[in-house]
Amino acid sequence: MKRITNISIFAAFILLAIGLIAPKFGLLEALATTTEINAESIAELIEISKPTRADYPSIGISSRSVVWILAQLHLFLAAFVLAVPLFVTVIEWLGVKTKDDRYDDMAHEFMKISMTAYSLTALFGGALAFALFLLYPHLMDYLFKVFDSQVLIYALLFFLESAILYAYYYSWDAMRYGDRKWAHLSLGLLLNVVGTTLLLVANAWATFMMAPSGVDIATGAVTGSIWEIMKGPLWNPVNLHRFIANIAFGGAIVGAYAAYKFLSSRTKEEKAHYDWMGYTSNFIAILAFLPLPFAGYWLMAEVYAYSQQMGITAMGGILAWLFIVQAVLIGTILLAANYYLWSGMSRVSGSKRYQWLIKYIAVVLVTGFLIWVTPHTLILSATEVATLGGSHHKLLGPLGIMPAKNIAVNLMLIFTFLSFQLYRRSDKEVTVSWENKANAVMVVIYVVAIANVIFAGVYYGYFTNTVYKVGSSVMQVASTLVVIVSGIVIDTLMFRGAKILPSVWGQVSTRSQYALFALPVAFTWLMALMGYVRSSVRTHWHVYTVMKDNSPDNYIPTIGHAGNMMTFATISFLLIVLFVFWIASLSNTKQIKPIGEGNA
Amino acid sequence: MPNIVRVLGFSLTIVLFFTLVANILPQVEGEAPVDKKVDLSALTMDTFIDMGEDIFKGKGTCTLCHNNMGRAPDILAFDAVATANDRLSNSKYKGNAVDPQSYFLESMKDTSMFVVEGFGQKGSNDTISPMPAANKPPIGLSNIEMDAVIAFLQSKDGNDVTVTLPTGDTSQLQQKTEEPALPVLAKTAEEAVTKFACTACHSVAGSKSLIGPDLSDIGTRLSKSEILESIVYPSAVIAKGFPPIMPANVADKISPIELRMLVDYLSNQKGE
Amino acid sequence: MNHLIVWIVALIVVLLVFYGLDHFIMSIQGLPLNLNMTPAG
Repeated sequence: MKRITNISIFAAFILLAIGLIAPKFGLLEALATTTEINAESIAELIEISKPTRADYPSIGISSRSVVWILAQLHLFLAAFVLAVPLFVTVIEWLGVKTKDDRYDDMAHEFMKISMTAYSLTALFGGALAFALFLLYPHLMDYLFKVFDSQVLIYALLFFLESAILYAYYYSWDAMRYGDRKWAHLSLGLLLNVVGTTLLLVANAWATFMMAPSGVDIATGAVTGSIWEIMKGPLWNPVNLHRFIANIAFGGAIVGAYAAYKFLSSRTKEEKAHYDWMGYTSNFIAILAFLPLPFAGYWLMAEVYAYSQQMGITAMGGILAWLFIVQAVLIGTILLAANYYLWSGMSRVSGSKRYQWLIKYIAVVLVTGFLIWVTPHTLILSATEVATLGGSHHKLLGPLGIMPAKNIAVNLMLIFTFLSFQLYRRSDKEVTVSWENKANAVMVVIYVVAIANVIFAGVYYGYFTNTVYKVGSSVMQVASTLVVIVSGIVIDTLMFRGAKILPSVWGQVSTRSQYALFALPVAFTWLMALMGYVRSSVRTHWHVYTVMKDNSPDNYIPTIGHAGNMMTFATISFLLIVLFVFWIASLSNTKQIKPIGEGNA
Repeated sequence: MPNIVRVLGFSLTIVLFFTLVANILPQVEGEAPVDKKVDLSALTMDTFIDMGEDIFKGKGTCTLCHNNMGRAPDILAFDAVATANDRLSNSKYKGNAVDPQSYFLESMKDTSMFVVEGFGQKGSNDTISPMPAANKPPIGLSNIEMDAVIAFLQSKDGNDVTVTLPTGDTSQLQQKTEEPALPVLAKTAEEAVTKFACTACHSVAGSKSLIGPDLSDIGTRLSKSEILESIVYPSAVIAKGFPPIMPANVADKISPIELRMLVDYLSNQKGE
Repeated sequence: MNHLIVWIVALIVVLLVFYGLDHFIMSIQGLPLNLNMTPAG
C-alpha cells in the first residue's frame, strides 16, 4: 500500500512537471503545422541591420574581452548549478534504496554548496546581458527579433527554477522520510526538468549564431517558427554534449570541495566522510567524462555536415592548434583521474592482486597522450622544412592525423575504464560459480576490442580513402563502448552475493587529494578552450552567413591571447568557487559563546 | 604551510602550465576580410590576376581545402585549364559551361555540376559536392572577384586569359552578389546553341564536334516536330551509329522562347 | 583442459561479435565491407 502511495505521488509530480513545462516551451504549437510562407510576407519582414565599424559602441577596452569573461564565468557557474541537482537527485534516491544515511547527508551537503553558486550565476547572467546590450546592440536587436517572446519564457523559467530550488533545499529535513521523501525526490526531478529546459533554451541562442535556421539567409528575415529557429543542426549535439559535460564538471568541482575538506579534517570520522565524498565525486566525474568524446565527435560531425568550411577552420585551419592544447588538457584529466583511482586502491587490501596492472595502464596512458599531442601540420620556416626533409616529419607526421589520434583516445578511454573496473573489484571477493568463465569473457573482450581499435585505425586510416577512414572511427567508438557496457553488466551480475572486503575510508594519501584539485582545474580550462573554439568558428560573423561582425575585434586572436583570456577566466572562477565553498562551510559554523558574556 | 595556500599554489601552477602551452605554440592571428577600394580604370590584367591569387588564398578561402592534404583537388598543382577541358567532355559533367572560363565560374557557383571521383559528400556516391558556393555567404565573392580568380586560374599554368577586365563605375570591391531574379534569355538561336552547349557534341553554328549527329543539315532530315522531340526526349530516337549519351535533362533549362528559336533555327539548317 | 576450452570459445564468440559489429557499423554509414573487411564497391 505504501509503495503504491509513493509511486503515485511521484508520478503525479512528473505529470505536473510535464504539464507546466510543455506549454511554456511552446512544444504543443511546435508539434503543430510547419510555417507557411508566401512571397509577399518575406518582403514585409524586417531586414537585418548591417552596422559598420563606427556603429559599434566602445567603452575604451576590447568589447569582446568584456563579453568573453562575463559569458565564460556565467557558463562555468551555470554548468555547476545545473549539474549538481542532477547527481544529487540520483544520490538521494540511492539513499532511499540502500537506507544508508550517508548518501542522503552527502546529497544534502552537495546541494548546500550549489546554493551560493546559484545566485552568482544569475548575477553574472545579468552582467552578461548588460554587456551584450551595451556593446553589441545591433546583434541583440536582431537576436531578439528572431527569438521573440521565447526570451520571456526563459525569464519565467527562472522564477520556477528559483522556487523549486529553494523548496527542494530548505525542505530537506522537513521531508526526510516516507511519503514526504518521495515528494521531495519529485521536487528534485522537477528541478532538473526546469534546469535542463533552461539549458536547452540558452543553447539555441548559441547554436543559432553558429548555424542559423528558420531565417532567410540573404536578408536575415525570420521565416520559420520558433521551433524551426531553435532546432538547428547543431542544437541537439550541443545539448547532449553540454548536458553530459555539466555532470562531469559538477562532479569534479564537488570533488575538489571534498578533497579540501579532507585535507583540513581533524578527526578520523571527518576524514573518512570526505574521502568517501571525494571518491563518489570522482566516480561521477569520470563516468560522465567517458562518453564525452563521442558527444564531441557527433558535434564536430554535424559542424562538418552543416559547413565543410566551418569544420575545416576548426580542425584543419587556423583553430587546429587548439585541439593539440585540448590533448594536453584531456591527458591531464585522464592521468589525474587514473592516479586518484590507483591511489584509492590503498583503501582496500583486496587491491593488491591488481597492483601489477597499474604500470601497464600508465604506459598506455602516457603513450596515448604523446601520440595525441603530436601535431600534423606545423608552420615551419624554410630552414626548418629543409632540416625536417619536408613539410611533415616522416615518422611523426603520420601520428598527427586523426586515425592515430583516434586509436590513442580510444585506448586511453578503455584503459581508464580498466582502472575503474579494477578499483570496483578491489573490495569484493566474488562468490558466483561462473566467475572464471565471466573473467575469461571480460579479458577476451578487452583484447579483441583493443585489437579492433588498432586495426580500424591503422587499416582504414592509412590504407583506404577518406570516407572509410572517417567511418572507421565509429567502429572504434563502438569497440570502446562494448568494453564499458559489458564491463558494467558483467561486474554487476558477478557482484551478486559477493563478499565485501572492508574499505578503510580515510586511508588514502594526501597526494591523491591533489589529483582531485587537478581535475576541476583542467576541466574548467578545457571548458573555456572548447567554448572558445565553438564561438570562434564563426570567424568574422556574429550570426554565421547572416550577420557580419564589423566590430574592431572581428578577427580570430592568437592562441596565446586566447589562452591568457581563458586563464583569467579560470583563475577568477577558482576564486569564486573558493568563496562558494567558504560560504557553505560558514553556514555550518557556530561561534562558541565566550565565557563571561551574555546574561549575567 | 596552510592548506589553502598549498591548494591554490598547486592549482595556479597547473593553470599556468596550460597558459604556457598556449603561448609557446605558433601564434597566428586570423584576418577578417576588409573592404578594399580598387580603381577599375587603372586596373591592368597583371594586377587583376594578382588580385585573383590574393582572393584564392585569402578571402575566397579556397586553399582551406584545395591543397595537398587530400580534402579537395589540389588546383595549384595541376593545369587548371587542361583539367577544365577534360571535365567538360566527361560524361559525368552535368552543367552548362562551354569553355574553361564558364566552367570555372560555374564550379564556384553550382559546385555539384561535376564532382571529382572520391571527393563527393559521404553517401552521395560522388554526385553532391561538399564545396560551398563561393558567391554566397560566408564567402560571398562578387562577380568581379570571381572573374579575378578565373584570371588567376587561367594564367597560373601559362594558359591564355580569356576574362575581360571589369569596367563600370563600381569602385568598391565588396559588392553584394545577388542571383538575377529572372534567367537571362538567349537573344539569338546561335546564342542559345552555345548557351545550352549543343556545340560540345554537335557540328552546328561553327562547331565541328563529331560526338553527336551533324546538325548543319538537320533541316533536310527531320521535321520541326521531330527536332523538338529530339531535344525534349533525346532517348526516344537514337541516330544510327551514335551512342545514346545526349543528356536527358537538357530541355529542363531551356525556356519556351529559346526552344522555339532553336527548333526554327535547326529546321533551317539545310547544309552548305 | 576445461579452462583452455572456455578461453578459446570466448575468443571465438567475441571475435565473431566484433566482426559482426564492424560490418554493421560500416554498413549503416553507407560504407559496405567485403568479407575480408576491405572496402566494398
